[in-house]
Amino acid sequence: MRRRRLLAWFALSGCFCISVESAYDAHGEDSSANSAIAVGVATHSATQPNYEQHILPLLENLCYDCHGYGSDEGGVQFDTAQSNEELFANKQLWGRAWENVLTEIMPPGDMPQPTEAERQMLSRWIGQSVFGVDRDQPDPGRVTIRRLNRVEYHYAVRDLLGVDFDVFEHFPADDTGYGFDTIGDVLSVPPTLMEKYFVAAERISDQVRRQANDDQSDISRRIFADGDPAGNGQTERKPGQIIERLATRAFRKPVDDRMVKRLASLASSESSGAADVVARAVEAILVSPRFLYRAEFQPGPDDPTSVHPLNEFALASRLSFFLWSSLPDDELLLLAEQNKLRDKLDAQIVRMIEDEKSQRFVKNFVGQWLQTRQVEGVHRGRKLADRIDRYRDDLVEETERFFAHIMRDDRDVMELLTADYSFLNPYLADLYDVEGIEGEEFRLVEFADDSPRGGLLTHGSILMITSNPDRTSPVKRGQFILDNFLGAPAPPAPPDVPDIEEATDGGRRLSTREQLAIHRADAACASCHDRMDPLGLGLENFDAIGRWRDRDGRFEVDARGELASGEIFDGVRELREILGRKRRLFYRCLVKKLMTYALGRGIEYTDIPSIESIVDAMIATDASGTQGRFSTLLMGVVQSPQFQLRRGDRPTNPPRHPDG
Amino acid sequence: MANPSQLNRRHFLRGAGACLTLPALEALSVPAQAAAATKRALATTASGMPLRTAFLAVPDGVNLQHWRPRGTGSDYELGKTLEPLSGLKEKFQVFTGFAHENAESLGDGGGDHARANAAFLTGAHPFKTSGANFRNGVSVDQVAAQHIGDQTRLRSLQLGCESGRTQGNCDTGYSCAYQYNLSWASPTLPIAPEANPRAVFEQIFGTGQPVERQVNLQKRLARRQSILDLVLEDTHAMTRQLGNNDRHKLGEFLESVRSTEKQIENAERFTLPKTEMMPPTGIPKNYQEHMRVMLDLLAISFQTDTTRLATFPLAHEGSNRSFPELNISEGHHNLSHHKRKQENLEKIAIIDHFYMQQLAYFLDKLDSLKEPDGSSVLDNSMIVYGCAISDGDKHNHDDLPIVVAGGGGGTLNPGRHVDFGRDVPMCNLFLSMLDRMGVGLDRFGDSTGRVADL
Repeated sequence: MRRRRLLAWFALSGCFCISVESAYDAHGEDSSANSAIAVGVATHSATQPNYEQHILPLLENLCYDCHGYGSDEGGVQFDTAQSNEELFANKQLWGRAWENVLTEIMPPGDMPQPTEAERQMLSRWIGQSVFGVDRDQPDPGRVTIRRLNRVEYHYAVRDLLGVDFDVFEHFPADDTGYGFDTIGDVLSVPPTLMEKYFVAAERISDQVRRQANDDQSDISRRIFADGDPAGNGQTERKPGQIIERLATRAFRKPVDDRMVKRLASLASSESSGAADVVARAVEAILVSPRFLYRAEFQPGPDDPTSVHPLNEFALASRLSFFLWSSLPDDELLLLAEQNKLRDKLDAQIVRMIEDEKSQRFVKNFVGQWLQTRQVEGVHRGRKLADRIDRYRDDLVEETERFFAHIMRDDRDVMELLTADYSFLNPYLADLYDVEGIEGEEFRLVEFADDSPRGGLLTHGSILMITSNPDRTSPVKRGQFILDNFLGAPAPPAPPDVPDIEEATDGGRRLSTREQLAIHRADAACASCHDRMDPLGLGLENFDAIGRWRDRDGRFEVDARGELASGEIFDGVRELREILGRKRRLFYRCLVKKLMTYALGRGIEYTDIPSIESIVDAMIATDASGTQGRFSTLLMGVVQSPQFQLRRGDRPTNPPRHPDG
Repeated sequence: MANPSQLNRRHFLRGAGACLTLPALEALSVPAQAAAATKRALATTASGMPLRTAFLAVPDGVNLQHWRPRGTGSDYELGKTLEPLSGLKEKFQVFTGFAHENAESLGDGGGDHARANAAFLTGAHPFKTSGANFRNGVSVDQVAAQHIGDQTRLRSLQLGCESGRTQGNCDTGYSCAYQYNLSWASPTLPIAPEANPRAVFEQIFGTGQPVERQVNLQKRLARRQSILDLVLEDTHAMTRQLGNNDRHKLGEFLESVRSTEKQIENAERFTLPKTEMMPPTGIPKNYQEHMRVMLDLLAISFQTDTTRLATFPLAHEGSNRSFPELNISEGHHNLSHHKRKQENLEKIAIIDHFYMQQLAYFLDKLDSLKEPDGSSVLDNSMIVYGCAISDGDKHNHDDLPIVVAGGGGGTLNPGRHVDFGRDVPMCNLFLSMLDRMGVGLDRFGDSTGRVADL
């Protein structure tokens, strides 16, 4: 397999779409309120479409059969407003239309389709004319102040002090939103958690004190000894210097003398040694809101029209919590201090990805996007319960290694769905019926031409978490694909729905496929299940723990299907091929997931233009003919106005995106 | 090989009660009565005993066929599901007719499990969001805690058995926070349940060897004192630079820091209960063992008057746990969509019965703990058990399955099945319970009045 190193990344990624000009003063918290906003989008060459001339004909041709001329399927009708003003004011209608056009849910597969250019034009028009999106003055959205989640707390303490604090034992689970635990709005600090923060700070501080004078300990070396680059410097630092360094790192920006003095004065008596003084300061640092919260300061914090580049210290934090789930290191802080981080962004991202700390990003992002965190707690009925325990960790590791490989080799992220290889150890090889794997280690395995395996669709981790405890669930599997790969989840079923996967025909037991077919005969169910079920049925050859099977109980597995978008397939290999062609949908879905994780907020309508720009850049082939490189995705997110800028609070709330 | 967690719990249980000395409780009757003479005593019974309140929630609705008692009033027969409680029939009442209108969709579409959990103790209609503009109501235990919380060393306890969250989106467009947290200190501040028995033990008894726990606590609080000023100052300084939304977030943090401050101020009023027991280690793998060790700890915290308020979701709303120990391999949530199939309904009833056994275990325990005045802790408690979904297939939020156990210090009228014959807001019950704690409010949640016959 051709391996391509990451360093080659940025020949390609610097040139596209959104670039934040580095000229503005983004340094410090008091950058002046009138500093120019200089975020430009280079690719909006298309002219502004006109409703009567460009949009109305499209709607008439493509939508009105069901949503006009007296038809109002799904309660949606475009031609009942008295005036254009009234029509354009219906943000709910256009919001749904925007999403459905972009995710290709509409028009349905059996109806005439717009060209890609027409889709783009419609999307652009809705953005500009209905939602007032201005590509020259992008709204970066508003990120809520965010407390560290417990995973970030763990890594921050480890990187700062060398202490391994077991947050899973000591802190409760973090609440999640939009599928991630990085969402500031739902991460709170009730009194019970404050108590735990105090206890944690006390324990960690005690550990620092105990090991301060043990030259062999990581803690001592990291905090107290003056580690010169050669690693042999043993000069004792003064407590004040140590505290200044720790507080700067912990608070992610320089601290003033007064703060250092206050931290240093906490130790009880004059006679306290350096270890006591530093340990007490650590205790205070770890319960400070400056450590526990990621606050981003900006001019005009209560003015929604006040849009400013993030100051570079805040940018350093965004980057490090995104890619390392932890504090910025000295290099990032130094660049921020010199106001050179934006200039050196590309090189820093490469450095950060190459650092082994980026494995934390892999674990946290994959664990939540692909939900592999769920594997640990999967319950299985008696027949399978004993079998899965030995595989749980391996299954998660397979998916993480697979993702990391594509990230580190800067491959086309489409391979996540289409790869003909994976990472297996002998246990997984056994589970997957792959022969010839010996030794304990994981290794890259290319599947044989006739193997059904390949891509995330056939990862045991995903097949397992999308099953019920006692059987597979084509509906859950279909929904997983729609939600996480195609970015178009089906809405929830209404309560008290008729049978699903449980129907019988006059007492004769039916196969899962037959049961679902009966279910879809109901038009109310069909509109969504026509989208979910075929996808899941294509994976029926994999049982509830991801093993291959030819039969499901007494029924022979039939993995044929027709997608709502019209493609016909037989089995997982053909299904994979079809999904592999849905580049735009997959790229967009992944951009949105990554952006949500990185920003710590849900996607808003105002984000769509940035998302589309990143997708455009990923669709474009580079000099070597490759599309969708991981670097293009990552740099797209990092360079986006959403990641680079910050705006003041809005007194009222923006229209919500359907994902929210 | 013996299961170590099982051994731990047995050992732990043998210790419970036997080695426990009750300084807090013995001492309490005097000041509480003294307080009663001057001012209405909060969360205190007529005979000066502490009045305890706990809310236990079960997920996914129930099989009503087997839940529903036959007959009403004091002459009634228990349904099959409530049989584990038969030995305590004079100590609890069953209610038919409570409803949570705000758990209904009210135009918000799917997400009944998230709404049911969010509304169960708040009576509020949670704002549908995965994050932005996140908002619920304040839960009844936390409204009570605002008034009676400083009567005890711990304002309230939040227990649970789950130490993770569902990955991916939680219930259709709702943040997982709605689905996992029963206690809400403010509309935007849920309190996560604690699933680690050791952490709860240390909250009640302190840390370290038995003889040093009190000293350890004092040392810890003294340490905190000097740091608090710095934290407060930092918080204020940061707040001044932030926008509206962030100020609000940090305001919550500030409140939590203040509660630490209060705890230090209160430290002289309370001493830790003494026990020779060592904390339970690890989290029991067996679900029933896990629930029971938490219930033991809750009983001890009530007995020692460490707190008078607690919430405990036995599983999160929407839980899809399977029960191999009951020979049920399907997930609970899948089963709860029973399609009126008898086979599914019977399995649901088995799960309902299993959860009911845990309630019976807890009530038995409370009833075995005697107070200085000869009554039992159960006699001086109000324990609400139930769910804000009635039938898991319909997701309806009326006709809720609710048990209220305990005598409320002589203010409740147990030993009955009460059927209102109509929808009565669950919040009416909460309002009446708050009355009994000495927290007289005009309204709570969507209450329309009080429950006259309680």
